[in-house]
Amino acid sequence: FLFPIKMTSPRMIKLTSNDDKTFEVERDVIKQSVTVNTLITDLNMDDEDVSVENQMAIPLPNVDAATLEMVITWCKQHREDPPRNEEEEEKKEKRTDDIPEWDKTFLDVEQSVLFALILAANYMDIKGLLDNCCKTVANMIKGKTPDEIRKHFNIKNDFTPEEEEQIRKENAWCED
Amino acid sequence: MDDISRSERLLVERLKLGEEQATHTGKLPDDKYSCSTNPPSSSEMRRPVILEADRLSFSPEPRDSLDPWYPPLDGSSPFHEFPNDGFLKILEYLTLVERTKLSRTCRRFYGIITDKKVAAMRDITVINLFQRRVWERSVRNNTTNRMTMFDLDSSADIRSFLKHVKKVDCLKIWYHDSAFVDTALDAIDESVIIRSIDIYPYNDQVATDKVAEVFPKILTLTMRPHGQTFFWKGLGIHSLPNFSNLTTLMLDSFEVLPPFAFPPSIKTLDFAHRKLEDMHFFDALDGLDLEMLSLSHIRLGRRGNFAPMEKLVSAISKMKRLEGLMFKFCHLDVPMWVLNFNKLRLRHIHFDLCYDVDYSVMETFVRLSQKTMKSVSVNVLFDDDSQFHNTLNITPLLKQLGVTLSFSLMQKDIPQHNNKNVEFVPDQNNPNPMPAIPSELREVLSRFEASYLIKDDFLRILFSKVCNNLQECKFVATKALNDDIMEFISVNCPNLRKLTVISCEETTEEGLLAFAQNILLRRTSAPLKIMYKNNGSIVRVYGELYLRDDIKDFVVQYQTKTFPGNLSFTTGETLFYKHRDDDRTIIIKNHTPNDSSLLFGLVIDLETEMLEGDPEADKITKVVEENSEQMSLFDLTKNLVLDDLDERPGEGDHA
Repeated sequence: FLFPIKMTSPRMIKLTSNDDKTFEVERDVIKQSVTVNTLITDLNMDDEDVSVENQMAIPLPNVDAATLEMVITWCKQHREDPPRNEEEEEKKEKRTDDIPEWDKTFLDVEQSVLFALILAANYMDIKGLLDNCCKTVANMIKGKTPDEIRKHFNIKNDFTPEEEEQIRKENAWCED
Repeated sequence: MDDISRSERLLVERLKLGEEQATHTGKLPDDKYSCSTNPPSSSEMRRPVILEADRLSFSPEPRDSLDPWYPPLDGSSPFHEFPNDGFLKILEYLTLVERTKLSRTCRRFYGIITDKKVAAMRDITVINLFQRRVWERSVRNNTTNRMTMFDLDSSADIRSFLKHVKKVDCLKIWYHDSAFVDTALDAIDESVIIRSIDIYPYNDQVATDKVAEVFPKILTLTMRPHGQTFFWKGLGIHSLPNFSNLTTLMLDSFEVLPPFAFPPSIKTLDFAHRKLEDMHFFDALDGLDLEMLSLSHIRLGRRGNFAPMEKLVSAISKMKRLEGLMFKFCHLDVPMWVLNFNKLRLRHIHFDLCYDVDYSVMETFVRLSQKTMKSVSVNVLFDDDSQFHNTLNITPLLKQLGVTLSFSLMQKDIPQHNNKNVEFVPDQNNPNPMPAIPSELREVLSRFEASYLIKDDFLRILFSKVCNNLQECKFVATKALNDDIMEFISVNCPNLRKLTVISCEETTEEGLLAFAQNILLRRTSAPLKIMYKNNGSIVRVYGELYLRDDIKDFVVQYQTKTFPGNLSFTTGETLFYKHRDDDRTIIIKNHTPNDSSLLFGLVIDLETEMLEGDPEADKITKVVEENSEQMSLFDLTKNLVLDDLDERPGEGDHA
């Protein structure tokens, strides 16, 4: 009598963050993470006939719980995105003004959170998320002077005044 | 469904779908992440995340802060302990100017950004190097917005620029004095990989020696003199220095004179000359082992002089590997006996707007290569009855030999008494209506293109029956393409993969809709990609599809995207329509993805500028140069590869 139940409920996958919190997420949602998807396929977890309670959780040693929660939310939002055509994407211009509204709001977070998301997206290989996070940071850099960039990110100026002047001269040809 | 609820649905759908995402390329080595993130110290500051929220209704709440991205309160930098690989991902989205600004913030960033081994700018297609006088007098007014220009003052500036450059597809040098090339190239060292170089002299000084000294291993060399005098008359060259790895050579308006010999390594030769007089070119072909030969503007046979064609066929019959032969704007008026030579192994032959594509010329080339021939490509003027019918009439032979046809039609002249009516009316000068076309045409046709075609009779007949092998179709400014014909195509071309409609005034969204409605007639799982730069908005097609009863069987997605332009914003749309149970898919776009290629223009004053000649002579050059710049735009942006040739602006000498 288990059979009909299995057919109707979506397959779930368990993920564990580096601070030992476990999340359950639909197989179909988490397939956007190439890293997790490959793991599931390589371990033949799709064929296993185990209930989600007995299933092995996939450990993500580089991602903490709060970040993982955000990653999962993002993946749910983007589960029906059209497939990416890598070949075409490769050739496309690297723009930063095309972040979808939903993502813009979603990524409107503290810098530390955003940077943690970049690392998680990179580790889990979720290209759409990684792209939009990096674009968000790039947009913070764009249009600022070196000094404004330093202030924005709390970057310490560790050049000597002489070095600073020399580098300024070296790049004088590309001042606006 | 009424309009309001429909537009609401569209809005919701648009929100739900978000917009297209740009790319992330390359993969980072995972081991770099062993040092990964420490858990963020401020996790309690995080916005709560609604985990189980319905994806449609879920919408993150905006923060209540004035500056959404204020720096961390504890004074730490998010870049601290942030691995370099993540930093490099962010760098990919910065322009050269932004990179240098970032590099000036601290030592670590300067170190990474100017280390071209790890952080060189990607996708640099073309660097144009302009001698200032050439830029100011000739090229400036023809340039494109897509090029990022920099004014440099010295060789040191070139070196500083090159700190960000590891690999360039093509370096184009625009110069008047070869001394400029000497100085400029001395600033470029081996840390820059350049595969291809274009030399554009505005003078008779051909700087190939310097190029060969600095870049002896380039793969492609393109040479074209600019300035009216040298462009039309051509420059004579007697020799080329040794480029050991050269595989592709394009000579435009260079006449090869004895004892010129082509580099033996070349596999592709593209030779154009408008007034070729010396026959040494054909002698120099002897002994080459080419795979591809393209000839433009050459009189191979005309007014009883068949000598060039005889020499050509004798040379190419010895080329055992020659797969492709292309004639562009050539005169081919030769009797068949001239072509009776040894067997050829051609796989592709291309006749592009030649002056006289005779049936027998086509037939002979095809028959001589009949074991290997895969495709014949013909581009003719629709007005040229004899060439047009010759092409139709060759199709039974192509069918018999299993050869496909790529057929392009251009209409040049608008008939005098054209009444702007697309309905077919037999006209006075041409009392015979369009004759029945051979049925084989529909069987061998793999690619079809029409430009500026006015009357729809030919299209109507062509697409009235199944064209099983047609994979690609393109219409440019073709009034003859109307919604009826679009519907014919959607029904009768079940294997079509690519359709391009640009500026066809009689075509509307109705025609597009036919493709979606007839999706179940498709016989291939390969998606049909439609590029529609034409009337109306794709959103109408989307709206119509949404009202269909069977919409549940399909995945329909509509996205818009805004492109900032110089004066206004333009919008691009994409519609994705796929059957849920099989792979039949249609993707309609009205924008081309801007390619990622970076184009740079460096205008440089080097000391050679001091050596200029007398002002009077310069004035003359200027006038002369002004008239020969139609090609500049193309030269500036494109890395000239053979595939690009059909994008080339028409050279209107088809008198």
